Amino acid sequence: MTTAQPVMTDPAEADQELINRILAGESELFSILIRRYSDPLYRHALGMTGSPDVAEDILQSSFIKAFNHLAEVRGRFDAWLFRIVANGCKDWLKNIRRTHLSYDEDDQPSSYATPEEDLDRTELRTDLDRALAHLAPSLREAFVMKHVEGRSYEEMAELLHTTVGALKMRVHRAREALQALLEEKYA
Amino acid sequence: MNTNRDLNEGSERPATRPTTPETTPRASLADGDALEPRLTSPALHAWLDGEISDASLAITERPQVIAMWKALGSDADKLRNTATPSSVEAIVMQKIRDKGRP
Repeated sequence: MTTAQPVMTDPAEADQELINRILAGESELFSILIRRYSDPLYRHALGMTGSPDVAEDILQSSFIKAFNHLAEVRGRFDAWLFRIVANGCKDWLKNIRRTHLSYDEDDQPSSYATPEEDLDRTELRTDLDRALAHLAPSLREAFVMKHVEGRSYEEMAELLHTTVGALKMRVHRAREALQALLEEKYA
Repeated sequence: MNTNRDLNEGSERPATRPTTPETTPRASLADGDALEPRLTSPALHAWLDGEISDASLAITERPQVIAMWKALGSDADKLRNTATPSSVEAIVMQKIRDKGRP
């Protein structure tokens, strides 16, 4: 007896088919793309900002931006969407750094979570967020993608349009910096 | 906690306190530059990249440092299971309905 083989659909093709239908007027189908990709993107925004509220805001504005520019998607939708979210996170980090440039380092908000959000965190998570806040956005991004999102260097290179070697360098520099900040307390 | 190192990649933020010679920040480290060995040993990087085992790392690295990175790894695992709040989809879809087609 033979069994029917499942039809294997290329995820990129499936996304493009959905996009075509959304562009043709079936806007409600955009919710499928949200559900398909929101979790890793939310975790990226959370790792980058340290604040659930900010991560949620960045994700919402990124999805709306993606919807408004859906006709411009070329290549993989998930990679295109990731770059919108990643740029949103880096813009937010640059803005918050600029806001606090005139303060002494000890006066700066060490992490960007509200006190209420901090209550939900472990001490280690809070310290890690504070340490991450000291990193340049590109180092923080590389560390979060490698260690929080659990991505491979190859996947990171594809998403960020750079080389594996460059990303290993960023991750190594981020680890150095975090160890310098955390080891007195934890090691 | 040692916070007198400038941990920024470039010159985005000026140094806010004096640094000792050994912690003076480099002007800018390009992606292709060699990494100077500092606190994190090559073995620890290899272990964090999944290239060597716990046993291999234990030969060269302090137990406290290994414990710290394991704790950070456990915390990252918890974050890796975080789901998007359902309000995100609801709010985005409502705004899309208000707007209409892309």
